[in-house]
Amino acid sequence: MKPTRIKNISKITREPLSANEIDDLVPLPPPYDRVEDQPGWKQLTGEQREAYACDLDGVVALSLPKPKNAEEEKQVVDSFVSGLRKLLSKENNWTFLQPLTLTLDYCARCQTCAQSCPVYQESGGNEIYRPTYRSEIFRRLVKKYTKRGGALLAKLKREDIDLNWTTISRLYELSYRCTMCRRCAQACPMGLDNGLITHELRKLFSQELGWAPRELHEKGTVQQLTVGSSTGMKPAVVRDNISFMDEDLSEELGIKIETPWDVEGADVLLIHNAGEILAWPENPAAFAIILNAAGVKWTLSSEAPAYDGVNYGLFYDDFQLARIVTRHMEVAKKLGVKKVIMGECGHQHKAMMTIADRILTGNLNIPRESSLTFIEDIVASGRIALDPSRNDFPVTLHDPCNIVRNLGIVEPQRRILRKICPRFREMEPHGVNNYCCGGGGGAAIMSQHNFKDWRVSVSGRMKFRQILEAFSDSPGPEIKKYVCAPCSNCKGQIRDIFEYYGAQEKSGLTYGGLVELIVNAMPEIKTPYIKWDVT
Amino acid sequence: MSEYIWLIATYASIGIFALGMAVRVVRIARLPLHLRWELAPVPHERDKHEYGGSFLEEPDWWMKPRERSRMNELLFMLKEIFFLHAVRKNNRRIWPFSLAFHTGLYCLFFMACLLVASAAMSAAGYAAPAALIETPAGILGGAAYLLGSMGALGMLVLRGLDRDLRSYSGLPAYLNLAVLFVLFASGGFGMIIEDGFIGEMQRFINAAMLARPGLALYHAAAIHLGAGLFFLALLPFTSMVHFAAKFFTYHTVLWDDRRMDAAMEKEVGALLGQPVGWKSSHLGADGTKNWIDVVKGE
Ligand code: SF4
Ligand code: SF4
Repeated sequence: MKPTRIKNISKITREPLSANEIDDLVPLPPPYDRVEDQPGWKQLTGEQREAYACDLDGVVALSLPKPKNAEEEKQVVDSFVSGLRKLLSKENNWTFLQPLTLTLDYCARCQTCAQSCPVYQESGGNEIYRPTYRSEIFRRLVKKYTKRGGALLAKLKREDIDLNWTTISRLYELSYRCTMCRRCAQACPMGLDNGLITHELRKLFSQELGWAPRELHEKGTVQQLTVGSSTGMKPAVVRDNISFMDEDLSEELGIKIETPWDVEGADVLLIHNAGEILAWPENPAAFAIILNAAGVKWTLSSEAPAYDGVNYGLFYDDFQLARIVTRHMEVAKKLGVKKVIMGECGHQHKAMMTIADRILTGNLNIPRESSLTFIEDIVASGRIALDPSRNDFPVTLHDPCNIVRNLGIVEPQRRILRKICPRFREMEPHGVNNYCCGGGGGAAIMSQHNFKDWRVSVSGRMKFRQILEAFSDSPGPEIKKYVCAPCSNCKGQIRDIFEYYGAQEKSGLTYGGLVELIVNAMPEIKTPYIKWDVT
Repeated sequence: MSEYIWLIATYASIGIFALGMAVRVVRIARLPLHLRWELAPVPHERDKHEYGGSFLEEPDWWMKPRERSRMNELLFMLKEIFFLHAVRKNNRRIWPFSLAFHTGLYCLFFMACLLVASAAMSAAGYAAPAALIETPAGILGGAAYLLGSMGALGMLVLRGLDRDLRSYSGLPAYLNLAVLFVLFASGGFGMIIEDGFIGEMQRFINAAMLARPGLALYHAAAIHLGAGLFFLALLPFTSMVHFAAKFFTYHTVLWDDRRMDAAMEKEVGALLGQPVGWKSSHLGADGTKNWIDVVKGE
């Protein structure tokens, strides 16, 4: 791999700035160590190359059309500069101005953060994925274009970067090569946050240029605000799906599963990531089984958008974030519930529990709690009977960054697993030092062109390695192993990793949530709840 | 004449330093309240900080008292300041040099404090015993010059040789380290070749405190003081002021887990009342609508 210089970001080239080659990546342990056995990456067609910006790393996540003429190019540059100024203004960016200013102004360029970044490390040290590469370009552009005498100083300090369409389009793609896991921020001796730089760059693109990935914007927040869910499900469809699931599972398991809807004055409003209802219905069903068995007065809402806890605004747009979270809480207020419980979805936890705390004013600031603590309370209280011998298979736990590193919810899920899974083992490192699944920051739901290949084999590589190492005592497929990932997006990413490498067949790996393991341990459920072929 | 110049240079660099730092700190402190962006582990969690847990692990956490420990925060900060814990954990290559260099700076700072205290005492008519001032100042000075010059030189060489560091180091980074190396090395050189070098520093500080010129400085001392004064004046304009910024990154960002209360709600209300200038069409902002209107989609 050729080393890339910071200034090259603006160089107009036919070839990508730094292409990815599978054999540059850090090798995986057997049986995944042979490059020639790996599926390889989707190649871009000539048409795609012509149509879209693809000169960063040969990966296209965003399908950004190339500008038609010089006039359009100039408009993009002007908008970018005006966006930079807005990011630094109190009126337009009070939400993150202080953390942003600190990270821009006080970096010691010590590169400590690079040692902690799974994307940079697993790529084999590809310079463009270094946490500070993106930040340094951004920092230099901010100084040059928003500070008095910036252009002259940039020249004197030899830190000048040309701002053209190539720079901007590459930065745009580059802002989606970071999962915003904030592991780098944890390592930084100054407490600076390159993940936040990613966040702010994405915001600039969305809020000023109107550029955002289709999956996060049109199909994500816009669809959620207009239809009710990023899955496209309307209220009636959600209710149908859940009642179908209730019926189906009641029959299969021999117990009555009933999901309450729109119960006014319920103690608890549970909000799932609606993706669960479509992709992993056993997760919402397991919640229903546990809450009903424990005698909780709970409800789901069928009012848009409160049946979908997703809030992709967290990843790219402050206004979309605020719009969604406000609507969530308006429904909770209308129902008069005592508290809102987050389903197994990491970014929902972060968006609703902490970020929204300084957006929701007055009686919209309804208490919000993690399902992990809520369910642990039920498990610890003995209100439901559990038989750990039913979970007698190797289990490891993935820590979703948004729940663990960002919120500090570390132990409740572990206490449950220690109680109900006799063969539970940790990954290394784990807890707040965990590695991201590789699908953070919205990546897990982004799959355009060859981006899925990238997120599976580059950003998800460290997680796959950790999972394999956690089960190194029983690597073969004959022993079935379970990766517990209490987050919908992480599950999607782990599913894609397992599919890509054929890990179910080669290593006997499956994945699922936490509540499924609890239900699997309930003696009153006659058939095993964990299905081993979920991938 | 040169004695006056020394005095003026001393006051000027102290003034520039104080003013520069004040402007920096006030600018950061006056930035508006931001959304919560904490990051575990938050050390003021009394019992949970060791594994990075937070109050959010408690069911019905809003009904329970927060169990905070300022002592944990203090211990974290001490470990960070004196052992550069994060660098030690995550970047062993630069840690020895960085540690030597920072320890050198601390020793220099404490030596200067001692000499200033002694000057203040003698200005007030008390003569401090040598065992309390000169001896510890000599030890601190020796340690500062030795560790500081080794650390600064090591960092300078590492920045120049290591590809990772080199590509991100602009001219100012080398200049800052070079100034620091001159500062430490000239002090060390002075201590080796001149008897009573620390005493000379002491006399200079005494004279400066009383605004009394009349002090001739030898070469090493002149270089040392010149570099020291230049460094002091330069400091607020470099990223080396991270020691002040770090207070904010931890206390007002990474550890700021305060919940919304009445005062904060008022503050947030005012912030939400500001006009939105972002241009993307999905926002429907026109430069006059405020945040609340834009969020409501009005
Ligand atoms: S660790 Fe922090 S200070 Fe060092 S280069 Fe990274 S962001 Fe900058
Ligand atoms: S946030 Fe995560 S992925 Fe992004 S630069 Fe930091 S460590 Fe790397």
